[in-house]
Amino acid sequence: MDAHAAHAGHADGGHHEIEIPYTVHARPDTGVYNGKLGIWLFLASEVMLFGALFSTLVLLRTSAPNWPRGADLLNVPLATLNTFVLIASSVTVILAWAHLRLGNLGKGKLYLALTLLCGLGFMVIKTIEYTTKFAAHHYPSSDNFYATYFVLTGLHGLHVLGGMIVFAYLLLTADKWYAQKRDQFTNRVEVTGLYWHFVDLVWIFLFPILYLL
Amino acid sequence: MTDTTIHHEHSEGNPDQHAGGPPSEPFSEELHPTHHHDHDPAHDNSPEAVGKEIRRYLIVFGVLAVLTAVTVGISYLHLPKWQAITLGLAVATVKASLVAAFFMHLVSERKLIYAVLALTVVFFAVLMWGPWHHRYNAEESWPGYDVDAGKPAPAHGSGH
Repeated sequence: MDAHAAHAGHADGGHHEIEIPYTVHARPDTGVYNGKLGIWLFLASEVMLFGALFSTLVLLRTSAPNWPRGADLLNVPLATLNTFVLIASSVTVILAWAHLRLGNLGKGKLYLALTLLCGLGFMVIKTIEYTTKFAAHHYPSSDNFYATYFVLTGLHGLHVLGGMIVFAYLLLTADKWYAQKRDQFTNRVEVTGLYWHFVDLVWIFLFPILYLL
Repeated sequence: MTDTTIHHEHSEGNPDQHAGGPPSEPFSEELHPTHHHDHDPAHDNSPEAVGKEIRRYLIVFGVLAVLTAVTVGISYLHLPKWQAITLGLAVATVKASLVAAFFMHLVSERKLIYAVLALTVVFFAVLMWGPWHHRYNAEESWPGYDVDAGKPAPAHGSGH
């Protein structure tokens, strides 16, 4: 495949867009289209990124003679609301993908927009939480509890923001992509959805670990 | 002489032309005719199949919402620390499995993806083994080191 790609690149002389192979059909040897394998490899690296921080949290917490209960310091109702918002956004993104597969661009875009809106809602709630913490002079430098809280939720928040940027891009270019390369666009939504579900999955662990236990 | 020259030219004639075909050809996915219709053979795009999938996603959403309420509910029971942690993490694991299995369609994924994830699980386990090992072997590794050594309560700044 690599040889083919290089070959095609030379043949084009760099004048045209070099088409990425297997954006739509499954590669015979991997059984999946390239984007899907790519996102799973990326998510594997993400597991290690968050895993290292979870590991740090466990080390700090088990080594500390006193560790506060998250519920005593953090806003549980707001975080619970955020959990619902993020789970809802996981459903909306998968509905967007389902409707695109059915050929319904309008509904696909509607659900993409709802996903983006959920992401925005999550970030607004997160900002409210952070603002109250800063106002009460709780910073990452305050203690180990707040250090892990801000680093983990901050990194997670950046992932939400990253997803929102991609959803905005998908929404803005949906008409063009859908008209020209419908299947490839649908796959892009699926792959972005896989990333988004992962971000949801990380929150599913962050919420009880930081806020409840 | 002429004959030889012609023969020579012929033999030097580009064998690639015969083997390669037009440059765009090797690139074409149409070379794999088994995948003509489905954009991904793992998914059936018929309205019935997609409708069934959508219903399944909504059910999973409902279960996730209920389990979220359960997680919060458990925290109000004020169970002993280790029971609360075990139960909380158990519910979170069930929720995460539902997301991975149905939203990320791992219930029906290709072998290669499972292989990637299996490897990830191994490395993740190593990451989690680290603090565990430290917790129970620190005294052996560093004689005199006391993992339970008194530190100020986190609220007053244990991070230094």
